Amino acid sequence: MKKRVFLLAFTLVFAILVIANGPAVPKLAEPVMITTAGQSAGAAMMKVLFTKSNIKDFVFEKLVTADEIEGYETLVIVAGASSKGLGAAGIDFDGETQRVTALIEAAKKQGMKVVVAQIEGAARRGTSSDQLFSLFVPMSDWVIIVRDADSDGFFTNLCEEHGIPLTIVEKSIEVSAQLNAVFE
Amino acid sequence: MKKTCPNPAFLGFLIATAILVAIPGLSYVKQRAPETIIPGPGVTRRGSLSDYLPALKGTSADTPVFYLEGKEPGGTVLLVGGAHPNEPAGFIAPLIVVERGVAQKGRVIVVPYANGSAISHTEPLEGSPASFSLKNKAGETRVFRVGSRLSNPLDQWPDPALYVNEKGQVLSGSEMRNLNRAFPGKADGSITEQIAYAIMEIIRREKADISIDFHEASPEYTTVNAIVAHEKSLELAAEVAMYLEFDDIPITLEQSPKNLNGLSHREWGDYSDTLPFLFEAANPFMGRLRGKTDETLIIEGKDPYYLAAAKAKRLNVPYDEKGLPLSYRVARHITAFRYVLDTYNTYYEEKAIIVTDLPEYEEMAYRNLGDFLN
Repeated sequence: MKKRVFLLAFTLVFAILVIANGPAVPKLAEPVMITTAGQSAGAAMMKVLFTKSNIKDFVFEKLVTADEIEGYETLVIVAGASSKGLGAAGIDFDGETQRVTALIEAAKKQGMKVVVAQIEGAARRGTSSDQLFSLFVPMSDWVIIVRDADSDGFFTNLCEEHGIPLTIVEKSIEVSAQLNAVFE
Repeated sequence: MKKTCPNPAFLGFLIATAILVAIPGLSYVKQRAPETIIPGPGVTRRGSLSDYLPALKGTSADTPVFYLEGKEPGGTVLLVGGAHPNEPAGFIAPLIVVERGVAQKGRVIVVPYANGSAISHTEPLEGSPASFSLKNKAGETRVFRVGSRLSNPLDQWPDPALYVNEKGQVLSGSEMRNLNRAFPGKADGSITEQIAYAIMEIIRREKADISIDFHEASPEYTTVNAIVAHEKSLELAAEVAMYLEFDDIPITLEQSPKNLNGLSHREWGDYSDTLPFLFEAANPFMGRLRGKTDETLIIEGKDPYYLAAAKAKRLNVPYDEKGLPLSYRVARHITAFRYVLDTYNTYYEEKAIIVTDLPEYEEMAYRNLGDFLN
């Protein structure tokens, strides 16, 4: 119990202290579709973070396709390549990038906001994961990451180059507070 | 009748042969002698794996099962160590639960050495030490065998050219002796498949709500410092991973692939109602890049070649001059176990499992691990 109170306090403090760089973070609206790019388990972590936030109208579909997002206002893509995850989902890397590219294009066409997240830190960086970030960050409206994922400035540079607002949190558990702040 | 003296050269040959046979023979016998486990005050009962499959009785695969039963009813958690007994944190973490833990509510069932056959020999051609020792608080030495990833060929031989497991997964022949490719097992199968079946029986008969399999892997492996979870347990595991990250314990979360059959995190979930988890800690002793392979490497986890690899950014885990000592690897496992219970208890209050007297991460990591053994 003490731990949970402490975590809540910590989260609130970081909601205030969090660093937001560059362009303003857009206001987001429900309902939300959460999916993954790369099938890492980060999307499951994001679902838990949404559960712990004030946002209640969200759905998690790890293989959602472009024709299944009608009526949603926000698309959250948790990016990170996992060979185990791709195997579990029965999709290969190329198939996954095609699915997510089509998904974002459809989302943009219907006026949805697109969020790209990396909440698994340095362990979910690497050639395949970086390929996903390079593809999808420029197509997004907001990027949220944990600091550990940006030790080489990869996300800072990518977001600066494409004028995408970037929010960096210290720990993934702080993402819930960030969501509360940006959802109307 | 004239007495004849044996030829001195022949006598010398006989003595030399006897010595040459005796040395490995004694080593072989010693490796089959189980180490002492000193159950703590929380252990209420002791049984055997053969209680769940009588065919294992009297075989080298039979192994102790410990029960920590709380006064208050609750859920049940199964801890499985030593599926790969060449991964020391994999069996020391559950042993610490046996020697220190007290269940206040619910039950903990612990199998510290799941593959009793694989602990009876070392990994061939790896130069692995046969054992390592830790000093407890009283200054007494506790010796622990180091085993192999695979069951002893003396118990299960020959290997087929290819192994097709119960679920149809095709693997290399030697993997037939790998317990973590043999689930859900077979009651009348090979000794490894029988062990797997008996563990499944514990899960089913004891109605384990949670089951955890403790492992280690090389720092260059892709799934390391990780929790692997079945889709049923993925959200609990996601929360546990976030708590570990919050404590600055590097962790990744992986989902158990549906098409990777025979592994605990897949089959325990598919063949029972349990929530399965597999914990993987990074250990240079397991890796291909390591240099001198001895007891010190197991305990201290320091290796100059891994340090060079880390500096060249070739590892998947943080690694520095502090190394990855056994105390740190075990502390990770125990902490992850505690967070699994904390998280589970939040969602399943009526079946909560409360275990006390386990050391905190800061108490244990980078300290003398023997202090936490009896």
